[in-house]
Amino acid sequence: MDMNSGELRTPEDARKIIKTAKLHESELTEITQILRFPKPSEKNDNLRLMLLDTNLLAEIESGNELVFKGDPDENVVLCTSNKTYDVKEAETSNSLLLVPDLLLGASTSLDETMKNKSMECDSDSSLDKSNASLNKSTESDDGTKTPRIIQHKDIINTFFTYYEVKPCKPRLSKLRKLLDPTKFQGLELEYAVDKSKLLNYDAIFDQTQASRAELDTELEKIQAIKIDDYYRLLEFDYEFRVLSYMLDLIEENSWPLNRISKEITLESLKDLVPSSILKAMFRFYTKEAVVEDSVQYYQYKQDKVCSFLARVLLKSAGKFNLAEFLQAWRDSVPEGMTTDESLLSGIALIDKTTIPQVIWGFAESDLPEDINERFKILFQTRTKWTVDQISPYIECYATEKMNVNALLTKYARASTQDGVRVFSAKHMK
Amino acid sequence: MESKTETEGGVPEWAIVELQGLIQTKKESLEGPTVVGDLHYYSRNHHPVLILGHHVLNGKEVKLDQPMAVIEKVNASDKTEYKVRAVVKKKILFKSRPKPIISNVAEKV
Repeated sequence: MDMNSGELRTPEDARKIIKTAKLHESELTEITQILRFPKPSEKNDNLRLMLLDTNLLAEIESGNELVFKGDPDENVVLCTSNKTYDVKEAETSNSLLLVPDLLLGASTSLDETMKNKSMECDSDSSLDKSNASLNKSTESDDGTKTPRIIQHKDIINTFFTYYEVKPCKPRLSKLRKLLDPTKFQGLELEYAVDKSKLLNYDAIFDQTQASRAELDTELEKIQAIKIDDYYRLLEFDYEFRVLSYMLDLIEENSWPLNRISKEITLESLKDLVPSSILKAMFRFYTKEAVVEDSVQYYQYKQDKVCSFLARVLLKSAGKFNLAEFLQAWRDSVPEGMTTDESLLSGIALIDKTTIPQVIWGFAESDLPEDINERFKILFQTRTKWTVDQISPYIECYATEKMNVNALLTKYARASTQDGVRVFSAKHMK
Repeated sequence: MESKTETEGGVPEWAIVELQGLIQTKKESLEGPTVVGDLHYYSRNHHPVLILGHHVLNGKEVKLDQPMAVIEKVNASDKTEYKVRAVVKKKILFKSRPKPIISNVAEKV
């Protein structure tokens, strides 16, 4: 039987094939769809299949733009305006024949009402009917009784692979690396900055595997400041300089801590700090406080100020006497602010087993990105950690599906020490 | 590398015919399309039946667990764009063994 000859089938051809296949035409709906491979020039090799979740389907159906992102050395991600998806290619041993405008069962019957009736029939009468039609079909093999409509449908391409997408965390660690070379260190040092490395928003967006909303949140979080159209991080010492100017105004003006004036702060420092930086720093370090006589007053975020000043003290390498450090820290913060050891988590480690007790700087941002490397360093630094101690250093890997505890179960060994659950390296050396 | 997918308003819905293994055609015409097979549906239950060469395949219409987008790579000037050509929400799945057509009289069509 040569099925390949001729590009257009007639109803007669279709009937003959039905008969050869020992099917009964009267049991079939009236439309025969002839599936064809289009002529090679019409095959579309630029098509891909991609699985969607309900969110992506909704985005597509409302006509929103989705963006694939990734450098050649990165796994590609798909971004909506506010979510990021991991994209992976999956294989199937089945052939997926993609057919535009293919009619599904319900739309191939000419008489919808007839169909509905027969669907409603109970099985007995349906069987009767089917027997009846069977007889009829044998009688009417010449095919004159029922109409047969031929529709040719082209298989636009055959697929054995498709893309799977899975919501993932945006990949933002690269952002710091992108911005590090152009840190702002003060106007007097601007001459030393390689201007060719400055990045505007679009350049950053293109290179970061994150959606716009996620990128915007992260830029604010890492305190990137838009200066003359380019996003810049502040160099640590410069940030300290600006924050000190700002905090000094509290004493200068004898402001209560919840009566910080934005206007006076900006006005007093306008000759010392570029306005975009000053405004951003004020936003990073303060929150709204009272309104009096329709003037909005602000207060400094105590925890943020105290943590930053602790980092300033811990900046020089080496260990410090804990008691001396705590005293120096208390002295460094504006009067009325309270330092608290809990603010040191993720910034410093304290060893209370030594005499005297010591503290040293140990910042999350200085640890390696790779999770295995990071755990290695963590357990080299300290053999046993409580969940609270280690959390700030591994939180960045936590996802909805795998929280910090699950991470620890996977990468560390749990044990109990003096009734406290502690984690140590999985493999003893 | 960055590329975009866009939709132009109403996205058409296409369908997939899923078969086990692959279809080999004896000869593929370069001039025109090559017929693969005849697809019918039973009136009674709308189950699909595909006559493919010497085989009859009985299948089922299945709603995809996850819908699919059909995206097409379009080369724009500096960026690679993908256009969403269609979405696929249903497929016709033929997963049972094809039944050979046993015929004493091989008919030429």
